[in-house]
Amino acid sequence: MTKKRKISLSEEELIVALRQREKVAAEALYDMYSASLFGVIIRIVQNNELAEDLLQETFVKIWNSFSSYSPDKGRLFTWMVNIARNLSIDKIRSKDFKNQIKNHEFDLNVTSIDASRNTSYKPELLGVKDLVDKLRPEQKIILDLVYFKGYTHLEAADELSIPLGTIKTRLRMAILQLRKYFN
Amino acid sequence: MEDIKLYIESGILELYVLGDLTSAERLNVEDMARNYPEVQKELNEIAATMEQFAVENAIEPHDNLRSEILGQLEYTRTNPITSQQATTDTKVVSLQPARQTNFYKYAFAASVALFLASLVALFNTYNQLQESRQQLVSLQQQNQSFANRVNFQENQLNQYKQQLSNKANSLVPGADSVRSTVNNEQQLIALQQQNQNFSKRLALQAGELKNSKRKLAVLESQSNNIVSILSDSTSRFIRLKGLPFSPKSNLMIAWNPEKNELWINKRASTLPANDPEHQYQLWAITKLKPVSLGVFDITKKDSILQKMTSVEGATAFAVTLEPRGGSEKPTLKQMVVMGLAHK
Repeated sequence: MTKKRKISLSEEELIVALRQREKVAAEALYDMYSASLFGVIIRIVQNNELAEDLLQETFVKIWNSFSSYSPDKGRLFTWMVNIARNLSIDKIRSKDFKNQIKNHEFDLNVTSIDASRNTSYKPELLGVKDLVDKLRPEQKIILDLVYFKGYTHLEAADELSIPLGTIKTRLRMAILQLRKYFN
Repeated sequence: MEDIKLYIESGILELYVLGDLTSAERLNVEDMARNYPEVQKELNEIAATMEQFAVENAIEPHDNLRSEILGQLEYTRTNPITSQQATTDTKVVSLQPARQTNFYKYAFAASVALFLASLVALFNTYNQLQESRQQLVSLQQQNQSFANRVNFQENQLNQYKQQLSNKANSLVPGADSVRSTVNNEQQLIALQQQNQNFSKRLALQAGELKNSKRKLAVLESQSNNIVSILSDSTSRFIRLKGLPFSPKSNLMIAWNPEKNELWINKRASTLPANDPEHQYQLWAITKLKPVSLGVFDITKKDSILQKMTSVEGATAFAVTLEPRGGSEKPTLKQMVVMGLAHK
């Protein structure tokens, strides 16, 4: 492997360094989290180039708004991945992006994104590894809609014509299942 | 506490971690977490699970992106990681010059020196061990993300193949699309062979995908043509009905005079299959003069739609059975179906 060694810090050290806006903090942040964030982004937008742009936007936003992060409200990654997801979901819902689809810019799987708002659900487009196969289909659908397609639980309930309470419990069951898998 | 258990079971904490709550609901969850350790614990576990989920599905972005992104950020300080200065000065044990040769003194001094030296060596070895452990872990992670990336691309490739074959199946296999379907088939076979070579494959995929995209766009525009004539309100759908020569036959035509397009729907037709010496010929009757709109075959394995020549001002359409290649004028006694252009 020709890759340079990656920088890795503990979450506490990283947070301190990030507050001081040191370069090493940015490097560590990138090395520790870029692949995880990129994996989420690319599954939302299903397009490599766009995902790279969004990864960049995500890091800039994390860097510039780091003062608004507070560790007692949760993990660093949770805060970051929600930034990445929000930016990506805003993107696929933007006029710009939809026009691009209309103009037959046939980038990878745009049809699946087009489908995100109105037509049928296609879990195979996810490309998430077999670990998601551990989930029951109804859990998979909800995790996909909410996590990768950016539906709120209200919208998901509407889309699937399922009561709100059921949506919430299924989402919980899905995450519990993942938890079991990781432990 | 039963209430707390119900609260946790409701699924609201998952929504909190996924960022899917209003700010009021969020404050409420944070309040609960402060007051009930089991709520806080549950939140932590959900967050850790979602982080692990992302790690398992991590995809390594392109190497160049790192410097590009890091170059976008503004820093206060730019000094690299300040490695702890080596503070472990080697202790020097000064020995009195031996006034009297005392073997045990030297032996003791030597063993102290040896002990110190081995401590230093042990310390170094330990550091190296730690370092290689970290390297190992990071290599494993890189491997994992690389494998994920390959999986992901493979997946996309498969979807592509799927899309291509779906498109090809659903479209009119006119000459062009048949050829491109065959082409695609060959490309896919070639791609599969290339799969064996792991590193070459990624580079090849990019090119292949671009090609396929282009083809897909062509197929797509054909399909759009069909869809547009089918859904255009100015299109007319005309049923040609059987004549005494072949009373049970009929044929549907979609005609859009404004766009000057005309298609025949073979799937919905009951025309008998023609023999190799003959072909059906479509005619338009304009100002009582027949105009040929082209010939077509009906075989057992037929496509759905076939595009024919269109014409202005047709009052009726008819089909006759003619020698292969068609005739100048319709053979009236072999007219199989006919229908008026206007109701």
